[in-house]
Amino acid sequence: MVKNRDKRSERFKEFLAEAEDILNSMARDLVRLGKGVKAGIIDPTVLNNVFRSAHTLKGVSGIFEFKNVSDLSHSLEDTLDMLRLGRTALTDDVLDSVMSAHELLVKIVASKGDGNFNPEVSHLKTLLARTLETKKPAAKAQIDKEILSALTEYEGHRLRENLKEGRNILVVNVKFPVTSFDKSYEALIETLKNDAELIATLPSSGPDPGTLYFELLVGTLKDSPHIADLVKGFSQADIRVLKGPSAKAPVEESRPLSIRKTAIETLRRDSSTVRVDIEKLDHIMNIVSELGILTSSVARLSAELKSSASTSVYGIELSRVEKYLERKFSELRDSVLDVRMVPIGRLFGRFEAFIERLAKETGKEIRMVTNGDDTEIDKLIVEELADPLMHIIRNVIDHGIEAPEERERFGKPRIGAVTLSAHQKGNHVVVEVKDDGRGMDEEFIRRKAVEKGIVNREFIGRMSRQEILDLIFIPGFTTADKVSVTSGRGVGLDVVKENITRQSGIIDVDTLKGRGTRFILTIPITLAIIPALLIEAGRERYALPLSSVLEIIELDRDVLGREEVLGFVKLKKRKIPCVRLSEFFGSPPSGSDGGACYGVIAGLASHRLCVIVDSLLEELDVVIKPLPDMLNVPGVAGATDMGEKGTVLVLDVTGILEYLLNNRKVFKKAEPLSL
Amino acid sequence: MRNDDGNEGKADMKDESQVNAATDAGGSSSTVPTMENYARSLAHAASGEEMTLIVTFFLEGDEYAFDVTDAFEVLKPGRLTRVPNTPGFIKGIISVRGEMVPVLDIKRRLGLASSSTDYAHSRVMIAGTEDHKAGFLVDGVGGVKEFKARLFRPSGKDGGFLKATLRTDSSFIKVLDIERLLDMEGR
Repeated sequence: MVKNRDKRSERFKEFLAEAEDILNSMARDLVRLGKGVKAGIIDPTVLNNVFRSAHTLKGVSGIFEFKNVSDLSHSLEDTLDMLRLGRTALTDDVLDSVMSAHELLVKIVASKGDGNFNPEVSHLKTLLARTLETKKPAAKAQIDKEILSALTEYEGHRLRENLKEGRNILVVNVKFPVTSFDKSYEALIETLKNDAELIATLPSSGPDPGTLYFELLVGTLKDSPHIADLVKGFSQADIRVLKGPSAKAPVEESRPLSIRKTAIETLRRDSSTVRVDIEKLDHIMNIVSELGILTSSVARLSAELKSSASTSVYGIELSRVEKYLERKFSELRDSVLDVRMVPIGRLFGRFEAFIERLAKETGKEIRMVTNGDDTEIDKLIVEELADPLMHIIRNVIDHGIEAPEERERFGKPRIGAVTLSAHQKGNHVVVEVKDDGRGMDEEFIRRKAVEKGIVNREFIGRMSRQEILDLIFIPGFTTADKVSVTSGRGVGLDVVKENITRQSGIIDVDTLKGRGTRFILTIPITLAIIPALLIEAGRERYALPLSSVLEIIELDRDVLGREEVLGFVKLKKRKIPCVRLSEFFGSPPSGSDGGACYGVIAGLASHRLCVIVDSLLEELDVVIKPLPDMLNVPGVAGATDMGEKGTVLVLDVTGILEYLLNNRKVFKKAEPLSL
Repeated sequence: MRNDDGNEGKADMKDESQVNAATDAGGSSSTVPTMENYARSLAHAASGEEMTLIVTFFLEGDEYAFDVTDAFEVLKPGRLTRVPNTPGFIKGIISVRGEMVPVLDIKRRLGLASSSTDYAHSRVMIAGTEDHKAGFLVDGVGGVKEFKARLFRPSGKDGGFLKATLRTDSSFIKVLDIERLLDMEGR
């Protein structure tokens, strides 16, 4: 009885994904464009790319009647068209409007169509419309009218630009056999690219019907023999100089160029990638995990057969098959996991424009450096990382990096550096945001924490340096004395920590006054399939993700005492608060007295917690399924379906620690922990 | 979904007899997918009389219902997995083809006294929306029934979990508002 799935909403999701991609590539091009404007060189290819992105976005959003997006991208397209045709000068102001429009588009797409952006859209549309008014005087054409008439407006503009820059304008006559035309043409364009700009490709004519003739209009700083040399390899490439320092007038026999250029288009795409909805991958992952359950059933069966004398022959045979099955199964699982992985560099790339804009807003000079772009991480986690990283970067730019003058006074380079790096460490990826700014002042944090009543005065004196630094992640703690435009209100590092914790990650901070700060995020590579330990506590079974466990220790039940919910265990001379899982969850008591039980050590920043469980059963790989919203309780990350073994909850021990920290049950009476 | 072959036959028989009783009553019909019923529903459609489909179930002997569009499927309750620190009417979760669905004790949600805590003979009716669904523990399932739309009496804004009531010669059915049942804010 499946309800009619809204087909449109499926396609709408695809549209959102596509729009996101378009906007991402537009962001990259805009950054390059911005650099170009600063340097005074505008790369027409980049400008063209941005224009094309806006155009495509307008098209796809139109289909979905996503009015805000299609309206705004339309205005953007108009402006970009004027820019690329050279009718409007690309000034800083114009670039700003274009960038703001892009930013708003990102915002609207992220909102998935909810929310009202009408005032902002119409404001930007006005801004963009204004850019159209700043006309740029067209360079006087010194070229044959006949040729000009064959060119599109854009080509005409590029021709004028080339003339303005004093380049030689050449007409290269080429012919290709029809059969190998597209390959040869592309190869020729590739050859020319470095030394010349291809302004236009004009179809021409010749005697042989099996051959295609073209005239390539080329602008170059090189002389014609050089270009002739380049195109020598291509069949019949003779060159005529149309305009150059040597030849002032258009040259003699010019064949009439009356035919309009026909666009050389191909629908074939170079990229052989497939875009897949992550939900579909999740579905495959589900099947894979069910296969895993079946595989272990086969293993059990073969063991049973082997143990009985009458069937042991079959058992041995079956176990051989089962070994092979298992190998193939893990190959399958690994490749499915691999499909979900994306290089983190893509995420880093998104911050380039963001950092540039923040630098501008705060009047600072900042460059972004990235390391380990190739490090692969689950697509879903990448998305979850985007916001926390953005907040950290905001923080760094706002509070970390000094103004250029201040930096110079301290003998630092004017331009501050924000370094984003990543590397793999076992089943985790370590992502680091490092700056070379002023660092954090420990004393200042102490003072602030006392002022805000987060920690009392006598207690703070006994806290370690790491504990002091961890205070910045506590809700309500913000070191900025005034609210800034960039960091804004409300979104503090506590939210960042919460987000990272939700991904079973850990965030740490390290700082050196005057030298800079490092935020270190340790995140599991994937959440799709995770190694877990099946444990029992209070007669209930739970899956414990190994990634969230620092250590498991064996404890003596008698030593712990039975009544107290919270006590302490000593581990490496450190007193660690502990909590019984069954008490925390209100499960029925285990019944077993005495004997061994186990302590699972969880960590959050410098805090540690020992969660006591009754027994450790087996290690297995599980697929975590989220629980519905109404069941979001501290300590539970989700559930996993283990087939005939039933459904068990997946523990979130870090969540338990966090819950206790927030409720201050353990840590009020705990003496300060030292590392 | 799960196999628990017990004395389930008896409960099913009972359910069926009630379906038949409802069929005899004026204005209602059980919609077993037969050619005859198909023809009848076409005839209804042709006559312009608007019909409403509901799925009925039993709680403590009374008949309740969801709109047919709100209900997905009926399962036998397998092993429920308890989720700690949740309200008492949430009995746990079950995995429905890999999706974790909460199971609610609908009697407690409605404030009905429960005569037993044994769920072995209960059914879990999965209902809600595609993105937001839950299983409801019910004593038995009546089946899909069709009534003339005008026979339903809407219960208005302060009807609580009640969306409408339906009285025929032989039965009194309370149609529940699934959205309110699933709205945990208002608990």
